[in-house]
Amino acid sequence: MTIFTLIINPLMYIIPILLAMAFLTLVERKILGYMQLRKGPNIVGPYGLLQPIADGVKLFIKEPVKPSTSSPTLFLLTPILALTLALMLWVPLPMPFALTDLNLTILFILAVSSLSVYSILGSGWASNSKYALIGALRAVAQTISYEVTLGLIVLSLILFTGAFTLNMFNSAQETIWLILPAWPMAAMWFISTLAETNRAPFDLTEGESELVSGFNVEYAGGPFALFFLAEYTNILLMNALSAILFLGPSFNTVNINLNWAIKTTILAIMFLWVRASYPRFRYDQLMHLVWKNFLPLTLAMIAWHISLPISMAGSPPQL
Amino acid sequence: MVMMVVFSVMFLISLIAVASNPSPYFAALGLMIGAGVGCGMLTQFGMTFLSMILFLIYLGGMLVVFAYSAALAAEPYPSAWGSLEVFSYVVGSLMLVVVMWMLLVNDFGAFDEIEGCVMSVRRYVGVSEMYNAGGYMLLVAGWVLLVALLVVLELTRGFGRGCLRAV
Amino acid sequence: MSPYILFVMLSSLGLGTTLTFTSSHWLLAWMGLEINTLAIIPLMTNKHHPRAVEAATKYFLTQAAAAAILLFASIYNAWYSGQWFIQDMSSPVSTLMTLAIAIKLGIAPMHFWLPEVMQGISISTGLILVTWQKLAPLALLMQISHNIKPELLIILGLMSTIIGGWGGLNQTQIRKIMAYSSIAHLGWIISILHFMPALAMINLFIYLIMTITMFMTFNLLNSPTINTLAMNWSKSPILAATSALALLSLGGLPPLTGFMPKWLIIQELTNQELAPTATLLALSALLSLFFYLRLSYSLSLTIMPNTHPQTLNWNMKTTTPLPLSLMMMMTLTMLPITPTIISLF
Repeated sequence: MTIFTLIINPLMYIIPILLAMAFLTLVERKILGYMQLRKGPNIVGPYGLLQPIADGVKLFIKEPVKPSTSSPTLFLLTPILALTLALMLWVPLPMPFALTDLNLTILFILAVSSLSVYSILGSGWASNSKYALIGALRAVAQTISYEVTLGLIVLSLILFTGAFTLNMFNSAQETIWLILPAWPMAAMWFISTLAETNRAPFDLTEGESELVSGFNVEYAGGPFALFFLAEYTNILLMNALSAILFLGPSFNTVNINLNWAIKTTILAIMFLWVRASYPRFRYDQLMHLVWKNFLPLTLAMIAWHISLPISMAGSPPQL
Repeated sequence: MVMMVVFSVMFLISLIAVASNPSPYFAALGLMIGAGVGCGMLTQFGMTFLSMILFLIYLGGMLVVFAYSAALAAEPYPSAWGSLEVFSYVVGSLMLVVVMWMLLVNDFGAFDEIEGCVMSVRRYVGVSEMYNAGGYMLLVAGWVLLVALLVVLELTRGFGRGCLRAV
Repeated sequence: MSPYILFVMLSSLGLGTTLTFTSSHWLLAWMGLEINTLAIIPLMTNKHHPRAVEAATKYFLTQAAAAAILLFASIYNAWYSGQWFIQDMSSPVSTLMTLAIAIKLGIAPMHFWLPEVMQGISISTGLILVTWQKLAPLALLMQISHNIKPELLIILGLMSTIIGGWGGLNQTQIRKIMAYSSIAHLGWIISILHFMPALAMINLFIYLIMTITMFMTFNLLNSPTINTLAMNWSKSPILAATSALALLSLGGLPPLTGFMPKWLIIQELTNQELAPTATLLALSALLSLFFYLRLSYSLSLTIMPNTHPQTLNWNMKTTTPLPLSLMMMMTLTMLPITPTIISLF
């Protein structure tokens, strides 16, 4: 029985996540298409609905090419690591029937998402190619830089709500969504999640014109598909997390998941919109944005969020 | 209990990886696994918050920078666990571990003591006492951070003058 | 280096040692040691040069490793005995702790970093390294000395005196010679530590006085090698004469101050029925004495025309700084007040 639950329960998590991610790719291509006055995929299945499945099948039945000078074990391990971590991130999310119920949910999510850097670095290094290595180095520098601000923003939100648990965020937002009192943080958070997931205006790791495709140039077939899955799963997760942190989906009503899912979808579509609208950053501007703008701002915000509750501690409620 | 044994063995393997790998990159990976498993061991002792913070700061921040710089080391064909030299190192470290085990651990029921260890972890207060004892402690810690910042600045200041660069 | 940062570094040096002195908790003591290590590194690379950077790197690596071992030992001690007090060190852990502190101090089998580091840095920073930086680890060692196995301390001490003497024989660089001299003196301190900590304190005190004198002299004479030493009679004749005597005091010759701690230590070891150890210590002092003699020979007994192919220094510095004069007098003439000094400790 335990073996059964140990296998079936995670599968019940993984399959919908992967499905959602598959249709996210379709939505992305469709929306980008319509924004550029073309139709996007529309041949495979009705409205191109079967396109992601066809893509997945194609990728997985292709030969996984491996460069002869690569470091074989690491080369194959890192895509697996990437997808595993991306799926592990979903485990502590406060679903109605969650896999686990952690006390330190946010810390867990931050810690595990910080690990995904290793898969990028490992794959870039193990490919033994200049483009892959430079792409990986760019990606790692960018990701860990933005992780600092992500952590600090979350810290001030934690000071706001008073707990590391995501459920507590839900109850903290019963009267008002956190996006209103903490709007500077929300803006910085959204931009940082864009950068953290290496999305469009910050996709310097891909940098097609310079680096071909970034850290995964040398990957093909199945391993590449794993990276692809991990990337889009991370995007979805970041949006789900932003929805919980700032948009207050109430978990204790019946239509919990619908509420949350709609907010997540809106955020994900904003990701696509941003991708369609903005040109790519320059690398030094990217770093200046985080180290010289976001970091001082978030530090000041933390000081503010520490001092405000302390100074208001004695005042009566509803003042 | 079972998890503890698994974690300990993995910890040992990762430390051997650190000790026996001549290429810094694989050693960094070994260190990463060791740090992660160490955090797991802390969780087994019941210190989840500490292990999370350690995981986040050490593994997510510091070690990434280390691996980053290790990845920059130019080494077209780094030797890994396959090569004979590294294998001999591995065997040597394993033998060292076994010898230490036989010298230090008298009975093989060492893991039974872990229960007692959990108790003693709770009993002696260590770091929490240090923070509880007063703010002066934190003042000194803050000063240390400032000094560390100044030291790094002073060592790397100026153009073409990294701290490890020979003029 | 800007004066503000210099001030921060120097005050942190002071803070680190003071913290280690005043703490009874291992964690704080460790913290003080780390502050010390951190604060001296910018001073080492102050005059930027590849050798200085190398020295700072070597120093940082050894000290950090030693501090890690020390932290491990103290945590192990806390696990073993359930408390963090420095005074109550359990015996098996104290061996590990002693070795960690020995690395920090540069005691014999772990001494290799000291001459290398000394050679890379300026004489004034070297003065800090062999005096002030020794205080904090020695304070810790003294606090746990009653729990350390005497055999360990005696072995460490004997190896230090012998290697300190032996290593200095072949050197022509003053700073390396002074580093080996430091190793040898620490050996004397270590070997008496378990039996009579007060005597170790006296030895440390006298060692500090003599070393400060010698480093100030070398700093003033600005001579990094033995060869340049030979030209200093033209610069400051009186200093040349007295510093030759001070070197002999460092070697421990009878009418000078340096004889006092060696005398007392040999006596105490004999009282403890460790006459062979005392004999070995005294014999190893001969090795040190050889290179001190060679230094003082170059400093005061060689005049033109001599064998050293050097040009004379003609920038006459007539004034000797007051602290140097004071230290010099203490270095030379404190043997008659031995009872007073003993009563102080």
